[in-house]
Amino acid sequence: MADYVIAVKRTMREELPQNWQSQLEDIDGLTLLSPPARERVLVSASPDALRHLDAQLGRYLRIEPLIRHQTSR
Amino acid sequence: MQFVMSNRRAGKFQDAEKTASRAALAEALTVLPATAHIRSESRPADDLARRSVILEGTPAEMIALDAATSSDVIVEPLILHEREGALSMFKHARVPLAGLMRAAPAGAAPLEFHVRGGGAPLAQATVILFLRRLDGEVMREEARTGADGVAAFPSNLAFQPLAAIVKPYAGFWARWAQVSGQKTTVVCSKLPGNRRLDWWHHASGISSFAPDAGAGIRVGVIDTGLGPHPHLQGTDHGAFILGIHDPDGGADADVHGTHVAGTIAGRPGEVLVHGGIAPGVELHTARVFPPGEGAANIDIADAIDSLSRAGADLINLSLGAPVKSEVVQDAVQDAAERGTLCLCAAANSFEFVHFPAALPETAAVSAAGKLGTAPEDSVSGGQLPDQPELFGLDGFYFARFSCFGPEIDAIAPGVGIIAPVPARHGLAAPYAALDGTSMATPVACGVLARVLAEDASYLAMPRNIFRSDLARHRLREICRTIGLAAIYEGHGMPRS
Repeated sequence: MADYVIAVKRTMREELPQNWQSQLEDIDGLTLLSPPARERVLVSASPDALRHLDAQLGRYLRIEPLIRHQTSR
Repeated sequence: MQFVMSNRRAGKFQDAEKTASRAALAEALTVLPATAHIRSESRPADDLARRSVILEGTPAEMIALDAATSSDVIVEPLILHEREGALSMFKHARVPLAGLMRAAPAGAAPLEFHVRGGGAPLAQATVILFLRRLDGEVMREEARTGADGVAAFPSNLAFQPLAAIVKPYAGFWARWAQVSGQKTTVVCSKLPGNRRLDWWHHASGISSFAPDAGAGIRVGVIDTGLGPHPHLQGTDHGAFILGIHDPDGGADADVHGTHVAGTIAGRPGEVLVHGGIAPGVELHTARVFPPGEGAANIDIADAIDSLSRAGADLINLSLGAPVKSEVVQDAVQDAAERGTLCLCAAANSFEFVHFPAALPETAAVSAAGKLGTAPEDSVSGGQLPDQPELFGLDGFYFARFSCFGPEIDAIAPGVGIIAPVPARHGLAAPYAALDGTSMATPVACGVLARVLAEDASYLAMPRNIFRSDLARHRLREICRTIGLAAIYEGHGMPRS
């Protein structure tokens, strides 16, 4: 299991199924870590769950790992 | 780890002694532990010369070999010598913690740093001590001074103290210190006071302090949070941490965000201290850093959304990662279409520009210093480059830490920048000097805000992609060269 950010593609906001977040919750091996939000959520997912998510909703969503940024001091 | 075995030559004056020494090494190599193996070997044709072998093994194996072999065989860690020792030590965040506090032997006298400034002990100063472990690895340990100005580290014979960085919380320059025995006294120089403008204001074309400069421009700062500090006011958008928005969590979890915001919008009022570049801007802030940790891509994107939707004309992002986030890029693009230009720090690892600065939609800012603006024994005074082509005109130089590349849009002062830090430790309105592209970016952002505030055509534009494009165009227009190659200075240094 690893943490991923799921974000709605800007170009797909209109076409995205309204129940996309409940579809996420129904995927085995995927857990929502952040509260349901309009455009982005943080999830923990297994490799299988990620493949499933990509196949089901990938055309609407950007899926990328949680990336940490540092201050530039 | 890698270690070296060699036959001893010193004191071997007779051929028979030299031959015996070589034989001792050959014998030792026949009884190597099963998991240790030879990486490389120098085996001179002359049977009397020194033979050296580099091995790969564990520290325990090295110690066991040292104990088992004769005195004719030397066993020690592979020690790498570098030209830029000071630079590699400056990147202290990458140096692992030694864990001295955990491994302290009972009864040993501690290593003490007595930190003073202005004739008095300095409390709450951070001392970062660099040490070399017996296997050659450089490590660090950190401690903070108490009310008596003393920071103590447990003594440990397995570590050799090298040098230390001493960072006062506020009011004094950070500096390097040489370790001198069990007790090292470090005296820090006082920051310049009694002035509103300093070298970074003058370098930006600002010759007098104008409290309303930048009025009418909304500037967002996404960072470690804001304040509290009496010279800073803004709209706090709260904290965005791992996808959860805490509207009341926007206070600074560090000092960085307050310093960045203060460099842009510090409003000292009647107090004669360093003012912001554009104190009249409408400041909006969001915290995306949990205490002591990095900021997540999801939170940076959410914060960009929040500030951009609040009508930010400019957003300052003094943060970065070496890998690109499409989620952040998406938010940056979205913000640009709402009229918001993001200005980003290039990063401090003297290598390629990090993200989001490297995105084509953002403005990337590198850092410059100026000769004679910080004491020579201070950390800021030691940020000079070691390559002559990195010195520019009028005493400007490319800071030795700044990242560079074709993505750089502008260079701005980022060495020895004095700005507010949160009011803590009994200090009512503290100011500190910091270095970094983090400090250069808000200088550029403030200068651009001042210019846009005077630009009637910009102010009249609707909030769309053309507005953010014009802001980017104005940034490039107001840049003046400081005599460096474009990969270091981009279009030059912004001047209002």
